[in-house]
Amino acid sequence: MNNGMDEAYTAKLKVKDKEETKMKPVQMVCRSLALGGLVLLLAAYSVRAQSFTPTRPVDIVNHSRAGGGSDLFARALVKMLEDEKLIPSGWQVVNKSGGSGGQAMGYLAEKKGDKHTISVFTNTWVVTGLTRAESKYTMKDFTPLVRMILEPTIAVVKADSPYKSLMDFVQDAKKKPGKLVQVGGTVSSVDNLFRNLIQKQTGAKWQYVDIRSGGERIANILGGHMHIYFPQPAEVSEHVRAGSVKIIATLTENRLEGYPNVSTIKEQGLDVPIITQVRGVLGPPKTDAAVANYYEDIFLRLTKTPSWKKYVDENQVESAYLNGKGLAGALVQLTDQLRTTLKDAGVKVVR
Amino acid sequence: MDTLANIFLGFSLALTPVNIFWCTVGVVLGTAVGVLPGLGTPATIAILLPLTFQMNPTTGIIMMAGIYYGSKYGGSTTSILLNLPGETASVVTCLDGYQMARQGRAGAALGISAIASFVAGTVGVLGLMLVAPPLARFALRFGPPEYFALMTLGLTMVTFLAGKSMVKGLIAALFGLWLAMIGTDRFTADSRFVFGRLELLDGIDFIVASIGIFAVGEVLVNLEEKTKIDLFTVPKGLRNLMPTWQDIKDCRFAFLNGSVVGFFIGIIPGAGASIASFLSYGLEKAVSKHPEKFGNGAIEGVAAPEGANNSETGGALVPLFTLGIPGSNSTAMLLAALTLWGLRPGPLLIQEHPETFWGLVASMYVGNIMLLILNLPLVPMWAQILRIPYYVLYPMILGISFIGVYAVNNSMFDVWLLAIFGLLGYLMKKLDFPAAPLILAIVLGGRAEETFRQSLIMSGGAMSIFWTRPLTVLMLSLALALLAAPFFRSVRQWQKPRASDDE
Amino acid sequence: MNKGDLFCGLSLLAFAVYLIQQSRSLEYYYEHGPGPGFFPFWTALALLFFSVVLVGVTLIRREKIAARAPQARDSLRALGTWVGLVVMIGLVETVGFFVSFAVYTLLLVVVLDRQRWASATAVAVGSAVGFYLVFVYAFGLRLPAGPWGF
Repeated sequence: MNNGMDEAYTAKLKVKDKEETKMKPVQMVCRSLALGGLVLLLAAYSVRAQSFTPTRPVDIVNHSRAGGGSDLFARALVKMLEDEKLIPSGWQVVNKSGGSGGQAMGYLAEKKGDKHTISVFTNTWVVTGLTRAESKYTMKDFTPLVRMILEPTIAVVKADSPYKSLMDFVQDAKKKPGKLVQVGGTVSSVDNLFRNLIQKQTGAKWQYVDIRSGGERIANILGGHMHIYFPQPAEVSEHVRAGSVKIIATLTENRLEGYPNVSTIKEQGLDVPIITQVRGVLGPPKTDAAVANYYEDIFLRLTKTPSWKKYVDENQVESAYLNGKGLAGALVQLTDQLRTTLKDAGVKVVR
Repeated sequence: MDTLANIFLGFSLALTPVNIFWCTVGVVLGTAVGVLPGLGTPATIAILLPLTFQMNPTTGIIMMAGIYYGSKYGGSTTSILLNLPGETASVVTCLDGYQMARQGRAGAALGISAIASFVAGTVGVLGLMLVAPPLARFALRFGPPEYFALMTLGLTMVTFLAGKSMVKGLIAALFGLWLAMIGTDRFTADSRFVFGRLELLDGIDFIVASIGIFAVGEVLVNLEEKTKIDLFTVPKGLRNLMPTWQDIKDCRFAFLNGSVVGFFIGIIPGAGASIASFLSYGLEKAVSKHPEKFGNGAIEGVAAPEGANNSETGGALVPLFTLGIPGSNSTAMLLAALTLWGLRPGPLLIQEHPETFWGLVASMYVGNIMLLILNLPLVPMWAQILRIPYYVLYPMILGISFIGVYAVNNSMFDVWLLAIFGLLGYLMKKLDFPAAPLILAIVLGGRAEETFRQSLIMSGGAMSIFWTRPLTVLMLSLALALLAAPFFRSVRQWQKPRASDDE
Repeated sequence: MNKGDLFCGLSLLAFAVYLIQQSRSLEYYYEHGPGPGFFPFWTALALLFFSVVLVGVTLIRREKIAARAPQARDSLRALGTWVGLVVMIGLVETVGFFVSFAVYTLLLVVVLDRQRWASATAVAVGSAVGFYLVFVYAFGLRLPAGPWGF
């Protein structure tokens, strides 16, 4: 690790001993020059010592099982980094599922100072820190490295549904309070948070059913058992393409590139705060600046590559790189936003 | 006919040397994954994905699917020999399979398992090939009330698994129901019975409970007897190393049962292979002429669930390919693989890439045949494992249990749970409490509660949702009928003279 | 055996009561239907009912079933193995799975079956190496490692 610096220092000591014996003017000039050169050399070594490259394969942790969203994201990152020759092969994806991210957080927290372990994170990490008393760690314990993408949310219904816009749905919900049903993830997920925000705004009320897997949620929409769903675009893009579901709004600030004809929630007259799903990378507590720089740098370079652009396009997400400092700020904002929204949604917030 | 042309296309692709090679690799790997606890299909597929990026997608899916349905062949091996469920779907096989091994018929059990897997697996592929689209539409009719009815139907199987004492069976099931409730309540985000432990927030993984109760519990019980060098009767002679023709004849209905039940459960996303095996086991026992043999080494009790978990794979591929909806973790990995290869899994996949779908279907026939050829001759070899002296075998079982459980979540906490469940399994055995109802309740209990509450949210609190939907009513009535069946049976046996008395 | 049943029935009774108490602290019913406390409560109640039945049946049938006196010595072997397993698990985080497992196996074989140390060591090391080759080397699973990397 700091070998360069050690060698330079030792070398400097050795040379210094030799120099002390001569004292004539010419030798004084030579001595100064040599010293100066050594100082420069030392400075150069120091700078190199400050920079970091991994000396063994890096572990990239995630909080889902093999095949889950975070797992696939981590694997995609590794593959792209390898394809673009930004890293040597051998990086390992480590699954630490369980406890809604709690297991992964605990694992990362224990790797304090470890230069070869990083982890991908999503909003789940923030939510778990806010709502689970059993979780020993929160986002503040970790070193923010980079934010990579923002995932938008959209509103979909069955293709033959009478609703043409989200506003249609909301108005129908107002007429039949408590009768319409939305399907989605857990009560602390983005879906339900949006539902609460819209309900608060408009006074409409509709039910919310949490179904475990994305596939089953779509099945419930297709089967007509539930009326509306707020997924990320990638989950339903094929169904949209096949014409079995239609998108009636995008829950974003601006229209999505992939669906330029679909209006945003704000355009439809529902002015609610927009929550986005964040995906990024964290380091363990007490990560060196040099180490953090390394990771920030390779991920930054990744975002400029064609592989990355292809990934972003295919998955219909927004490339949203932020380095460590930027991410730290964004996380504070996200935490505050989620804390307020969760409380409003009736979810118990403990921090 | 269109289908005929497609079948022809499929076989022309499946029978190319490249595809045969990768199909073989897939099914062999799948068998290994099934035999060894700790290796799951989703994780294996994830690890091998990078390998497939150079391949053409049809070849890739042939190999990955090979791992998927191949693992169902191997899962029965440790269940039968060591009472250690290798795969979640193999838990039911432990019930009669292990008892058969103890009676010296390990070979017959392993053999019938391979044969049932082949028959049902092939039926599953046939189903996928012939009736996929209409069945997919059928599967969509399952909303929360229908799932609840299905779970209830599964839970009534407790009456078939209880054995001698119904009271103890019910107590075991109730305890299992409680275990299923440990964790975060999905509806309110409250924590239930987690004792402040983060690791319990997601509940207790049923594989931890089953390996603990079955495998570790069994080891502990067996260690009680002081002089037990030759605990298992090693099957001697070909008769016991392979199922006899009589055995195969006896299992005729079991093959049918397993194929049909497994396939239908498979097409329902999220139902799971375990419920398929439990239901098919229960059905088999319900129609059997000698129900008391179940739980004590009835060969049909091995054939039915093993068949069911194989045809379930064919069924699970239906929603995957016709709708792009994965029904389980394994199919979710297959979906991810399809996406990474640039195919776009969804309702249009079969239309846009017919060669991939039909190539896969054809290769599944080939794969099933290969698996039969691979597994049957291995049966006598596996049976020799029983020759290993128990003082070598038992530590190995404990070691494999550790590994199998640790690998689920990479968590030591799960291993501690393993120890607790091991002790529980031991105590249950000593006190004559049947373990199967407990395991059944853990598998289904959570989902039963979940779907019940989901249904009530949908209906706004009205219970009428359960008797106004035809499918739900059908399944609930079936459940009621099954609950009543044992009473009818005993009444009938009391009224009618035995056939043998007349002869 | 019936003594065991009795003890069991009573313990289950106590457990059921505890469960009922715990379920009370959870919401029984909330705006959307049965709450988190609903099912646990009814399950616990059913458990209570059946434990009473168990105790009752045991008491009634006492004369009919010959009590099989459980040998404490038999259970000792089993429980001892279990305690050993617990210790082994406890040591895994410090010395790693393979060492802990090998030591446990060694002791099991020596104590349980009175085999010689030599053959016991062979079994212990053999199984540990076998597991390593199959699970870690061939299939790449990660098992807890001690300070020596495995």
